[in-house]
Amino acid sequence: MERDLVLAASGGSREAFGSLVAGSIDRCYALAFRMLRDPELARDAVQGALLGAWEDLPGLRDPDRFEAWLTRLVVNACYAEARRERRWTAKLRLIPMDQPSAPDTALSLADRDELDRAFARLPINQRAVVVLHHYLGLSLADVATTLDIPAGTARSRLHHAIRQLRAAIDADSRPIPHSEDRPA
Amino acid sequence: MNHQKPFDIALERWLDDGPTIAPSGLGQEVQDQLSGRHQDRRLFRSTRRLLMNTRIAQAAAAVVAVLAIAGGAYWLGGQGSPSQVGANGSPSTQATFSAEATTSCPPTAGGPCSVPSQLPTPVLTIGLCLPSDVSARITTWDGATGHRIATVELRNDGSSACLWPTLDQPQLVDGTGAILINGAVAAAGDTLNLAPGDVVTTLVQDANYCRPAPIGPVTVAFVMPGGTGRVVAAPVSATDSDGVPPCTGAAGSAGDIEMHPWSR
Repeated sequence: MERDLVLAASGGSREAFGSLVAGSIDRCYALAFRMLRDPELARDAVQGALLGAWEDLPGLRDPDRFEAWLTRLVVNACYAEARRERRWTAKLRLIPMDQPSAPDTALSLADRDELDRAFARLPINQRAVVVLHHYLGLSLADVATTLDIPAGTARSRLHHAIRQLRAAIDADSRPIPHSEDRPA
Repeated sequence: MNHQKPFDIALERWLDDGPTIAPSGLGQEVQDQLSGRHQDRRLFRSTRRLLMNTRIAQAAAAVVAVLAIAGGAYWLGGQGSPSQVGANGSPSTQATFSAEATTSCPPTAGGPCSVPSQLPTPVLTIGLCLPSDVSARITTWDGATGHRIATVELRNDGSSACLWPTLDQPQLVDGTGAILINGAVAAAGDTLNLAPGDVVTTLVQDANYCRPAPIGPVTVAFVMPGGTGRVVAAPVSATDSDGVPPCTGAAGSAGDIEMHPWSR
């Protein structure tokens, strides 16, 4: 079914592309939001990715790869949004505006805050690997294919990201001591 | 999601929180904007998309310029010795080419033969950044258990692209320039191509400082592989010493410092 829609959209059918958008926009937005942690940036990224998808769809060689191809476009659009956002608000720490849809009591508020802060500090390419692997559930091989990077690079990015996030969770949220706390 | 480690579960739950539905109207906005857009059915579509990337476009322009210069130099200089052309004012970018005339004349041929001249093949090489090309600054220090973590930005302030090693030897240094903690020497490896104005970031983590209190401001420095250069990051403030980690080992023991690879 999707293959037929892809072929029709590739042939210029806006109606078919509209159906593809309707079937994938929630997934795209969820992915973009988790990478960017900002609803407006996520919205812009998804919009840019979908418009780019329409323009470039005739170049998609394998219609069965539409979903992976679109995922890559969304990730690339997130990279672009992150760069643009960074240029103007380099020191801004993003805090998700949406409250969790179903608060999970297994995670303390402190843990959430630590994860929010640590995730915001990760380079966007590491965030992409974390989200694709731990949210979309892609294997590292599929992550590498989706991002068009070597498998070793995907593994390395995930390793660094997880180490950083784990350090944030393991931390006692202690304030940085003042100089008098240090050994003389 | 096969991982069942507590941390992975916590991370996946954290990721699962948040919106799973696109804002209402977003799909319609996309549809509305489609009316003014046409699908790209041209040949060499990928080339067009590539050239929309500023850096690639700049690189392509540089290659064209080098080709033009090299071609001009070749024709003006005749078919003499190969020459070398460097990009004006760029200490770290140079273009070299070799021009070897090839002949198709068989060794035994007695009559005249054509000696086709072969245009030089320019090779664009971008050199390592000089420390004077870049500037670094610490944007924040964060605390973790026994550690201090600096977020550091490095910017290419030069007028040309250059290569920056993804890993350097990190050092924690005090206001007098004394090295408080010395990291592992970095071997030459991957590099990042920094266009003018490009910014890359890294995290530097230190731990276990068990020596006398340093003189502020405390900051970090990066020694390039092979000791080819050293860049000292601007501290957070003129008196900042938040980067000094607590002593978690024996008095006088050496501290630890390591860095993540630089990334965009």
